[in-house]
Amino acid sequence: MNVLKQIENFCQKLHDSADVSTRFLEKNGVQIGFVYLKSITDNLLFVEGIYQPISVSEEIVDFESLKQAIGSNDLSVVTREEVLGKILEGSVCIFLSSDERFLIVDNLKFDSRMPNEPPTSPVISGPREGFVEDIKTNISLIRRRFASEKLVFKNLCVGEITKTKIVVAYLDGIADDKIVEQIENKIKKIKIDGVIDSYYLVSLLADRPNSVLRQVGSSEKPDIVAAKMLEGRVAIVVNGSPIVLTLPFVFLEDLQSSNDYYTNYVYATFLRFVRMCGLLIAVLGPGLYIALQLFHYNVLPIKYLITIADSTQQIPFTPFLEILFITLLFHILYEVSLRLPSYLGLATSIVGALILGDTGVKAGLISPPTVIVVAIGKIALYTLPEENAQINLFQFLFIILGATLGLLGFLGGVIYLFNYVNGIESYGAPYLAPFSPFIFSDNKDGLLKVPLKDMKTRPKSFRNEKKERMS
Amino acid sequence: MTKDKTITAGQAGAMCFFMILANKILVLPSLLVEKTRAEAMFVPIVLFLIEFLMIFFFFKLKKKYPNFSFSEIVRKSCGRWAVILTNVLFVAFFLSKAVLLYNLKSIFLKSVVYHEENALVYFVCFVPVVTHMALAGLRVMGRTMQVFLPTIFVLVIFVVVVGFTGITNIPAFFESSVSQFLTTTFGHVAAFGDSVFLFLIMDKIEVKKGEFKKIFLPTLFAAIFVCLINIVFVLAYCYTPFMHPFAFFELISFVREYGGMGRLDLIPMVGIIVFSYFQLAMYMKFFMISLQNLFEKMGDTLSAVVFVFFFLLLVNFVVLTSSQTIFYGEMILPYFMLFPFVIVPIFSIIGLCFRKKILGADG
Repeated sequence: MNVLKQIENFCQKLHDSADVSTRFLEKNGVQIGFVYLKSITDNLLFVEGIYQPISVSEEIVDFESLKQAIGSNDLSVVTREEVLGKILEGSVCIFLSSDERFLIVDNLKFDSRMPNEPPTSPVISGPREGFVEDIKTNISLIRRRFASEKLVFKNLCVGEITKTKIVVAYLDGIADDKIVEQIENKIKKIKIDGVIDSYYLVSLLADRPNSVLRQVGSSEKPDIVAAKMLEGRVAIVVNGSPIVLTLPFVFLEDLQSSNDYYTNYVYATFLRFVRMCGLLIAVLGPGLYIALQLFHYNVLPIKYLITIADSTQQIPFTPFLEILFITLLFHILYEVSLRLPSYLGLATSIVGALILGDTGVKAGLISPPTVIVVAIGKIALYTLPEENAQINLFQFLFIILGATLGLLGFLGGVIYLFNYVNGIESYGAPYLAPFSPFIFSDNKDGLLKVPLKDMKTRPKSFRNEKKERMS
Repeated sequence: MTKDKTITAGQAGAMCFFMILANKILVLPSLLVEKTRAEAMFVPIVLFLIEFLMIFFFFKLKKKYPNFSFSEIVRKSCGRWAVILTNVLFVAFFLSKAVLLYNLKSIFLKSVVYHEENALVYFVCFVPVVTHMALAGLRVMGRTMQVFLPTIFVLVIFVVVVGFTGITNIPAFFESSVSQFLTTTFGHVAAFGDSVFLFLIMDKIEVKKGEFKKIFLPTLFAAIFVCLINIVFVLAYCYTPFMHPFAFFELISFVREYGGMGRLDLIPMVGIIVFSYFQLAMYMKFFMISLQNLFEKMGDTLSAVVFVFFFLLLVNFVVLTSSQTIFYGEMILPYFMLFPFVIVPIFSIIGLCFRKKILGADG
C-alpha cells in the first residue's frame, strides 16, 4: 500500500475537511500513516498513547508489532470498506505500507456534560443522576444498575447521513422476545436521512403514528429506565439524546413518578389520586364549566350563579370567546416565557399576571371566575410528572364542545376520547391497562400503590417472560 | 361476516348492564304508573322473568357450543332460511329499538335541557360518537363500557338512595284490574328483550370456566336497579306521574341543595346521556353485525352507512313527536318482541336438542 497516496485518498474522501488530521512516519523501511478527525478525537491521547509509542519503538514491521507498541485494548482490524465509517465515528486509523488492512484505535472524545439531575424531572428523594447526550455514558448509567448477565445491549444504526448509533437494551428472560424483535425490526426498517434526537423515533415506533397521544415512554433518569426494564420493558438509547425511550407504553406511566417508589406508599397513593384529579381537571374542567354556564346554569348553586352573573354582566364578549381568549393568552405567555432569556422571565410574569390578567379584569374585558377556571385547568396539568403538553389540545376541544353543544356534546366528547384511547395498543399492551381491561394485580401499582412486599408479580398489561418478581 | 375481536365475560357483562338498564328508567316508570298505579312496580319483575329465561337459554347454548355462533347453530339445526330469517329479524329489531331510544332521549333533552335548540344538535352529538364506537369494534366498545361501569353503578345507587328520601307516603295497592295489568305489561314489552344481543355475539364472547357469573351478575344488578327505580317512582309519584315523565331524572330533581353543592339533577342527567350514547352505539354495532351476517362481503363502513341512512330516515319520517313515539313504542314495537321472547328461545331449544347434528361436522 502506498501510504502517502492513501492519506491523500482519505483527505479527498473527506473533502479536505478542516478537522482532518494526518501523520506520516517511516520506521525500518515501513511507512506508517495515521488519519483521524481532531474534532472528535482526543489529540493528547493520540500523541501520548499512539504516536509516541510507535515512533520510539524499533520493531515495527507488521500489525502485530504495531499492536504491541500501542498496547491498548480498543484495537480492531478492518477492511477498506469499513474504514471511513470508523474514522467518522472518532477512531484513529493506522495503516502500513506492508499491509492492505487498516488498524483502528477507538480514541473518541468530545465534550460531554456531567450526568446531573435533569431539569425536567427533579426529585425530592432518590437518585439524582440524569442521562446525557453521550451514548457511552448513558449505557454505563444503565449497566451500573444491573450486575447481571441478563442485561443485553444491541447496537443498531439509523440515518443515511447521520449514521446515529442506537442501542436497544433489555433484560433477557424478562422482556418478551417477540416485542424485542418487533422493536428491532421497526428500527432497522427506518429509512431516514438523520436522527438528531430520540424524539425522531417516537412517531416511527408508535403503533398509531398519527395520534396526538404519547405512545412511547421517555425518561431522562436512569433509575426510572432501569425500573421499567425490570418490569420487562425495552429501552432505546439514542446517541446525542439525553432522553431514553421505553416500550411498551401504557397511559398509567404518566401518573407514576419515581418519587412514588422512594416515599411512603399511602402518601404515594394519595399523590396518584391528586395527579389523576389534576389530569381530569386540566382536560375537562374548562369545558365543563362553559357547558354548565351556557346550557345548564340551573344546576349551579344559586350563590355561585349570582357571583358569575355579577362578574360577567359588564363583559363585552360571550363566555365562549372569553374563555378561548384567556386560554390562548396563557399559551402565548407560556411560549414567550420559553423563548425569552431567564432574566426576562420575571418581566413576562409581571406582564402576564399583573398587566394582562389584573388589568383585563379591572377593565371589564375578562371575568375573574373564567380566569380562575382557566388558571386551575392549566396549573393542574403540571401535576403529571412527565411533560404532556399535547393534552392542552383536548382542553381546547372540550371547551369548544361544551360551548357549542352543552353537556350532551361534552359527554359525547368524553366517551369518544375514551373509546379512541381504548383502541390504542402499544406492542400488544392496551393503552388504558390496567384500568381497562381491568387487571387486578397491576392495580397494585396503578392508581393505588401498595407496599413493595405485596408487588410480587410483574405487570400483566403487556407481555413479559417471567411474571414473578418476588418469591 | 364480522371480523370483530373477542370480548371477555366482564366486557359482555358491562354491555349487558348498560343494555338492560338504559331504556327502562327514563319514561317507562311514568307510563306504567299512569296505567296501573301502584301495581306498576310488578310489571318489570314479570317482564324480567321472561328476559332471564332468554338469558338462561343463552348460557345453555354457550356452555354446549362454546365456539359456535348462533347463526351456525340455527343453520345446522334448522337450515339456511332460518339463518336469513333470524338475521333479518335482528336487523329490524335493533334498528327499531334505536329509533325508539333516540326519540325518547331527544324528547327528554328538549324538555329538560335544550329548550330552544334545533334537533340537529342531537344528531351532531350522537351520530359521530356512536358511529366511532361501533366502528372501533366490540372489544374497544366493551373496554370503554368497563371504564364507565363503576361510575355509573355508583351514580345509579346514589339516585335510588336519594330518591328514597323523597318518599312521603305509601300509595294504595290493587287499584287496577288484572286485564289492565296484562295489557300494560304487553304494551311495554318493547322496553325489554335487549339482552338478545348475547345470542348475536355469542361466538365473540370468551367465557372461561366459572366466568358466567361475570355476565350474570351485572345483568342481575341492572334488573334490580330497574325494579328499585320503579318502586321508588311508584312510592314517590303514584298519583302524579303525568307531572314527572322522566323517572330517573325526576327522582332527585326536587331534592333541595345540599350544603351549597348545587342542584343534584346534574347527576342523573349525566347518567341518562351516558346510557343513551352507549345503548345507541350497541344498537348500531349489533345492527351492523346482523347485516354483515346477511351480506357476508359487506364491510364495516358500508354497514355503518346503511344504519345511519335508515336511522335518519325513520327518525325523521316515522316517529317525530312524543305522541307518535309513544304510539310507536306501545302499539307497533310490542309485536317485534316475538323475536327475542319467542323465536330466539324456540331456535335455542331446537339447537339444544340437535347436539349431534350441530357438532357432527366439526367434531
